[in-house]
Amino acid sequence: MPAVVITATRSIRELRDVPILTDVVTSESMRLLGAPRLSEVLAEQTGLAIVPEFGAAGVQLQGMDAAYTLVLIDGEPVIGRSGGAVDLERIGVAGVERVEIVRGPLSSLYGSEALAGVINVITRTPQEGVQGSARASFETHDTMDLTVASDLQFGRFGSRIELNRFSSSGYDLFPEILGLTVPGFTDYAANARLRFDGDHTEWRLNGRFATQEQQSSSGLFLNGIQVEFDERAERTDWSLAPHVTHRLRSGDRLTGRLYAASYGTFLSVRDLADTALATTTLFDQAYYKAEAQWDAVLSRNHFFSAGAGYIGETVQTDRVRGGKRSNENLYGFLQHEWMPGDKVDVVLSTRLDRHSDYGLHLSPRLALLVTPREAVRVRMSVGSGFKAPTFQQLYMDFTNPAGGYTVFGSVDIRQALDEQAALGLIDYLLADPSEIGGVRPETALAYTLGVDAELGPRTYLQTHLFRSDVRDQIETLPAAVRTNGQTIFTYVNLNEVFVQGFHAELRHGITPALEATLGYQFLDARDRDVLDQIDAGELFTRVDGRDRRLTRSDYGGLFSRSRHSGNLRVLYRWPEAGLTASVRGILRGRYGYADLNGNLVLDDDREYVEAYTLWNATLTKRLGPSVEAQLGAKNLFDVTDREYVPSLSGRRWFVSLQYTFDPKR
Amino acid sequence: MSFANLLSLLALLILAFIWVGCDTTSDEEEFPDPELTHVTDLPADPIVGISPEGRPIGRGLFTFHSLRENEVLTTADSATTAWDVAFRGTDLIVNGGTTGPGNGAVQIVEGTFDEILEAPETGWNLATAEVPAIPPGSGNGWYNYNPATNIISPIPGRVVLVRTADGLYAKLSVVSYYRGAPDTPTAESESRYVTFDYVLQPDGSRQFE
Repeated sequence: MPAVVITATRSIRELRDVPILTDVVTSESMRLLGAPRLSEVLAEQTGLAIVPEFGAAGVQLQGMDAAYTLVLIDGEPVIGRSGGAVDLERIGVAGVERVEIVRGPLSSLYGSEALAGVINVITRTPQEGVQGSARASFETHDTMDLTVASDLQFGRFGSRIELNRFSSSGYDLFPEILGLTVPGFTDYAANARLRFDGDHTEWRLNGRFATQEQQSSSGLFLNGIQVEFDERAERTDWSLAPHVTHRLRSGDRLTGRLYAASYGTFLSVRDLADTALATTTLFDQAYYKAEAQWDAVLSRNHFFSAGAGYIGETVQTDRVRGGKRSNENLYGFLQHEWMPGDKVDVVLSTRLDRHSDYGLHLSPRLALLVTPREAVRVRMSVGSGFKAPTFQQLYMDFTNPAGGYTVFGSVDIRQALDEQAALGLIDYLLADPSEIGGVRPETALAYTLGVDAELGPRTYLQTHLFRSDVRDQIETLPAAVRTNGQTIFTYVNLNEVFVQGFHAELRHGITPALEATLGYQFLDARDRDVLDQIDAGELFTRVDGRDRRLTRSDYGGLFSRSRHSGNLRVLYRWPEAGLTASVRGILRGRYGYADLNGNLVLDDDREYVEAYTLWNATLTKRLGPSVEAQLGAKNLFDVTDREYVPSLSGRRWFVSLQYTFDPKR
Repeated sequence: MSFANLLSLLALLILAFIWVGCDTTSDEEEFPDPELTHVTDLPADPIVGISPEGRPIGRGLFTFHSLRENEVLTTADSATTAWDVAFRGTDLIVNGGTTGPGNGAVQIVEGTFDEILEAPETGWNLATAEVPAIPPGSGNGWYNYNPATNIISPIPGRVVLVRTADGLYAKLSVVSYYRGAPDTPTAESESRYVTFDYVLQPDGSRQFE
């Protein structure tokens, strides 16, 4: 069966013929990695980097922050972001059929957040008959991943249920400091999928429930005085997605989807010395969506899709003004695919969003696939993507007594300033109130050009050039100073950045048993305002106590981006012995850590993290028709950098055992 | 020998040279040439505890400094024109407007310390009841605050021009906000100790040469 994908056009297409380049990570390749979590799987893909954001393992795609990538499970968005990132460690891959990665904006079909790209996790459909499986994996740091799953399929009815427990005791790179570098946790997740296939109608019901509990202690140095804290964090998220698809006699399809999701966190911080510092923070987010889609076959070479939907979102936390806020989003999208001949495929799509806070937003995209020769595919696209302002950027109302500042979201800033002024709390303004408030979505205009070529029977080359100009990035702006000296901040559209580069992947079967893949990405990501400041001679650096003007060649671009990154994968199969060996090297090139010399941009050698390469190795052995064992090491050469990359915990060994119950075998 | 020490030594040598030079000149009034002075670890309201809200707190007092004498004065001198600049945390005030009885004023200009050879005639800011002479907050005055590292760094290319209490002109560049002026301050570095360089023109002109 040829590989299929669904993300790029919201309809099932053969991977090789899809006009928008899609990378697929199959369940088999994930199994051979021995990586139970999505974060680990994506860390090994060319051009993706897992970047920690406030404890969340977010994905950097084509040099863009995790906030700009939409993460879907079976086409529905995963909600709950921390520091802008969906924590990909939340998502286990035991029940995943494949992961589809689309690089470049897809807001024309999916709306907000699909600015850098889309990662769609496609779960396994229930298998025929009765099946069951159990998998246990044990790793350094008492990391344990246990999954049991059962499949039932009788006639028209099918179900799949998965239960997962994932826990770790964390690790400590700074034994001299109180508390662990990364604290331990226990996750539970349950996934259930039901399906019923009628003559012309398919019914689907997907449900997911997950919790996490984390306890930690930490110490904070406030100018030589240590304050000890006890922290307890809980997270609960669930979602429910009923879908129905009806096939008309004409071949057209009508799909109706409902989706409800909830994400809640509870954080309690107890100060052991002084109870005045104790805080509890509650955050609850709810997301409701109703959507209808019509897919029509207009003729042999014209396909058309139209859809419309409604999204309602609510956030409840004492950190938003009023304690609870809601917004609504109505949208419609159109897609037309035209194949004027065998060699050309054109897809035009556009989406219009109407949001209760920021108004109308249009996201068009044009994609083109040309097949000049059987073995060569050329893909081009130009499209726009957007990212809506977050709850925080819209409604935040938060005063940090320790930090001594207040933040108001852009929807409320003017009213908040008026109220504060009426109470005589405003000392003076730092920004003109008529020019702040009413933040717009961040937008990108992106161009891609990709060429895939089968260079030989076992040699495959994929190249991809990309460029994206992001406008209106939302940043904080000091708006006023209060009479107590504290600054009031709000969010405004400020920065313009661009990312450009290319990635290439070469896969070659050296022998039928031995396959090697080499991947590389070159990335150039810079802030336009910084370049303007440099050109105007307004940006300086300090070297050995002397200031001088920064030049373009001094500027290292955006922080956290590696100019060069790459990976090597070698896979060896020995079917007679039931053995598969896989060795992977992942290079993360030199990248900017943080500003250290006061100009807020990356320029000084001290501001970089040196390049490092992680090597992972896995040995998979089939121990019988239904049992498979795995042994491996992650970060084999024990690379650590506790100052700059505390997410590197050092070498981790793991073993796992999988048992599959299938009476048909 | 650190750069700071080297600078101090240089300053001493220059002083000695000037002293010798002054000895041999005639009796008409002569001003020494403006020279670079280095002030190390001026306590700028160091932290003495933590507020009930968890905010590090000092005593809330400014440290007053005379640029002409290069000495730290007592709080009792705050009502006089003996001081020129005062530091409290990241706040920097001058002796004028609502922050002092003197003729002081301030402005922040962009450029390297060496290339600024003359203080402008206009553009001087005085503290008023509403607005301080140097606006507080990251990026507005002499420093940037990096939320990723929680570090206060002087902004390269920002020079603080000071009109002193008695109307002389000086240029000032903050070197560090941390005790001992470490090259790369960390979360453990002790903050609110200001190290700065300045050049005072004693003859009353706006030239720094």
